[in-house]
Amino acid sequence: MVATIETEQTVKELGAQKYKYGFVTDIDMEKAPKGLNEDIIRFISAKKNEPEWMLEWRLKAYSRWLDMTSPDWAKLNIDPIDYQDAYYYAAPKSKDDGPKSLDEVDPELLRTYEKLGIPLKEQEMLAGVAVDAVFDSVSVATTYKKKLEEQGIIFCSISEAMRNHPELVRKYMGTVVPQGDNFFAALNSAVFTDGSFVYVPKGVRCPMELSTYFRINTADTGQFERTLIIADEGSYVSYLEGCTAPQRDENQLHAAVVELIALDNAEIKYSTVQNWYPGDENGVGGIYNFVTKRAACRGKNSKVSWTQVETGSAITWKYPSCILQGDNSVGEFYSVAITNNHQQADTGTKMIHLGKNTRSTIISKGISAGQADNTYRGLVSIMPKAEGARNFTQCDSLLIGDKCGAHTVPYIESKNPTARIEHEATTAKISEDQLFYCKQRGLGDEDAVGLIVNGFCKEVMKELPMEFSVEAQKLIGISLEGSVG
Amino acid sequence: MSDALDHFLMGVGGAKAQLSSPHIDALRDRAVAAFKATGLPTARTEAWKFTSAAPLIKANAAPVVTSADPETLPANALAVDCPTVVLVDGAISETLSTLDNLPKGLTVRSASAGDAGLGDLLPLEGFPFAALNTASFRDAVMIEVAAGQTVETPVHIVSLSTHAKVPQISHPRICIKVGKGAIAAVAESHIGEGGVSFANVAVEVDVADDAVLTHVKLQDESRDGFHTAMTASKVGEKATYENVVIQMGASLARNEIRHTIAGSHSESRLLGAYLGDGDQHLDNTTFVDHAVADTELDEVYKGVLAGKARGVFQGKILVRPDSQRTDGNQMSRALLLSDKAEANLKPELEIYADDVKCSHGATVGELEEDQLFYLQARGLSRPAARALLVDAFVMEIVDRISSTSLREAMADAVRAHFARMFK
Repeated sequence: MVATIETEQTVKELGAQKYKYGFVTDIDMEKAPKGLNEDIIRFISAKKNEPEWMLEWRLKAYSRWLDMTSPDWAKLNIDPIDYQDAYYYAAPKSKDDGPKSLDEVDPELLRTYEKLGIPLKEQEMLAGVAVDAVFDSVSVATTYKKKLEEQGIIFCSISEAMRNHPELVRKYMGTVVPQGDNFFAALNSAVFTDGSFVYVPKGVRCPMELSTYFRINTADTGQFERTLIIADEGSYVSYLEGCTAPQRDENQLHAAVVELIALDNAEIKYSTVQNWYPGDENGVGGIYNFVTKRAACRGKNSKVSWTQVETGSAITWKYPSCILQGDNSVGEFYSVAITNNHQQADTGTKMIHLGKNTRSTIISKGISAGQADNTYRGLVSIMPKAEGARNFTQCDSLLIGDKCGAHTVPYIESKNPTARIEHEATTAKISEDQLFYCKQRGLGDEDAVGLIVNGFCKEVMKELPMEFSVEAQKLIGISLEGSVG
Repeated sequence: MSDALDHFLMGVGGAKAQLSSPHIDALRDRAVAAFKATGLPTARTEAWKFTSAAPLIKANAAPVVTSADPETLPANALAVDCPTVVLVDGAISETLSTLDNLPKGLTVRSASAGDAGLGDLLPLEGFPFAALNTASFRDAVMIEVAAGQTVETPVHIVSLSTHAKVPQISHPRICIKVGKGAIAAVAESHIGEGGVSFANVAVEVDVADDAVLTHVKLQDESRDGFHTAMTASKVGEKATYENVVIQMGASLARNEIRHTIAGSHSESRLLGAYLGDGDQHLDNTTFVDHAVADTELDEVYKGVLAGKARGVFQGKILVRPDSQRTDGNQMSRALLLSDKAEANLKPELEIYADDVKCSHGATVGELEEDQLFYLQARGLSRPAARALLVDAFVMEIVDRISSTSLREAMADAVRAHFARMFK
């Protein structure tokens, strides 16, 4: 038990560590008045010069949202949220000038990114990553646009897409996550301010990883991102999403919607590293992360792969899902969720098998420490026509300390006898033997636990693209420092 | 909805007239309040996610007030040569029961002759059918095994739903107490004469420290019937509880087990199989509460689903904060034998202690083509090969019944069922 006591000790010490990315940038914000009503939605729509149909779409979502109630089935304790006590629009003022290159961007903003370790320029040159940086609600800088344009790839903010490619937006938006899909998706549909749009044309393999950094800044501003990615026939795209947020005492709401559409023979790889402010060691503050992510594998042989590393947020409510419509389509979900102190995570996936010979793989690794609760909640559904469908699910939980919780809630529904579904879940702690072995070879407690937990997550981490894995490993390192020694 | 609630409670007055004591009357009052407060399961009730209670409500079954004992029992109860108590629509039949020469240390009586411990374990709030049973049972079988006694012969409870021209509901009730250090085996057979009968069963099982109980249940109600059952069990320190349920009857059945592991170094085994065809709906719901440290659970449920049958397994394992060194393993497997059959599984872990080893596994699929080929290559016809593989799949559960006589009786019952299913 010695190691356990030591581990608890380090948990306590490290819990006191301050959030590394907790600072606030002071830039003049142009805000809509507090609260949510039809006028605010009209304001947002007008501010973004949106076409009339978009405004109607938003208002329809808003009226649906009014009739809905916040979901309560997740294993989460959420204080009631006053939706009238938040700002729904905030944009950096310099937007009106429309910065066309990084030089025109507010230097303070650039310094923020530097502090966050997002070297836009360096990445441009060194890593070959195109970054569409979202600062609160408006995209301010997009790089590598030209290179992508040559291939016919559209990578821009969703507001831009609405202006320049309305036919694509209109055709696909809301077809995977309809306006009234759920409470948070309806809220997002009504008030989303920006997000990313990607269209990869037929037969094009996107030459670089596309990347967006999200950052919540203004106090009390919920951030409502909306991302839409379309991979046309035979195309491939890998998209990276990563986030950090400054320290705040009031809970900030984030309700994003991500829609992915893969047509015949197309493949989308969507990777997330989420490191928003989790609240302090007493559970005060932190981001509420209520995200609806869903992919439609519409075409034959299409493939969507979700990879997520979730270390931040006070509350995470997130179920990246795949609707496997096309025959032989493939859905994958790889997840690492780490919760510490008073963090709560209820996350998982849904794999809906509709087409023949559809395959899905789910690998979920949950790590809880401190007084945190970590839940895997998933659905594997085989519909009657999904001949030869195949699913493999593995959910492993690791508990560190005796005050945390790890829960597994899988739903398995099969309506086709030729389908094969396998599910397995285990729960364990780091064994004394493993620790002893590492320590005997000269590793300190922290390094030993770090090594073991990294090994525990390896199956998921190896799915991350190279450009992302360094940061993700660093993040897990930081989380481990702060949680397990 | 309140009409349906009132309709279900119609039998409470009649039940009170047949069985009453200060303890039971107070219990019934609590149960009526709990039933009203909980209400009936709806499409939005998570615990009933995969099983619609609508057919149970729509049946509009009338409570059985009195029923005549049949001359003979249907032949599909477990064939065990042992003391047998027969419940006819929830009332103990003196004429059909064979309770002479009970082995030493074993008591079997009606609750009218002593109701100590009745209602202690069965949850009411949140469990409408358990509450309804408690409000409406006409009699209860009280089985007690004295401390330190080893009772070799099992006790058999046969619960019969009589033939019903109009839908009728009965509430069989059983209370089993195994004293400290005692060893015993109990079997339940739930059978019906036909017609739309609704048996709403409640069973309480208390296994004291160092005791060992083998508890076997066969659910083979008539094919138009309904069966809902709640077994609330508790196992003490260094005790062993083995619960084996085989469901093959009824048009809609739900067998729910809520098992509390209250003693350290105890062993619990929950085993089950559900064999559905036609348009049967068979639900198995279990909840295991690891309330103390150093305990073991072994849970295996298997389903065989043919025709348009739907099978449900929901199994939750809770490990409380101080229940360190819990070893809990659960496995659920379902075989789909036809295009229209359906399996819904929901294994669930809720764990609050770190030094535990818990796992669950679940699989759904059809018979392995390789295995069928292997058997066909050795001269078996394809139907015979299928039957053999299905038999082996289910017998893995039956073979684990500790009591030899109950194991053999259950194997016979399962094979007789398969003979009809695969003919």
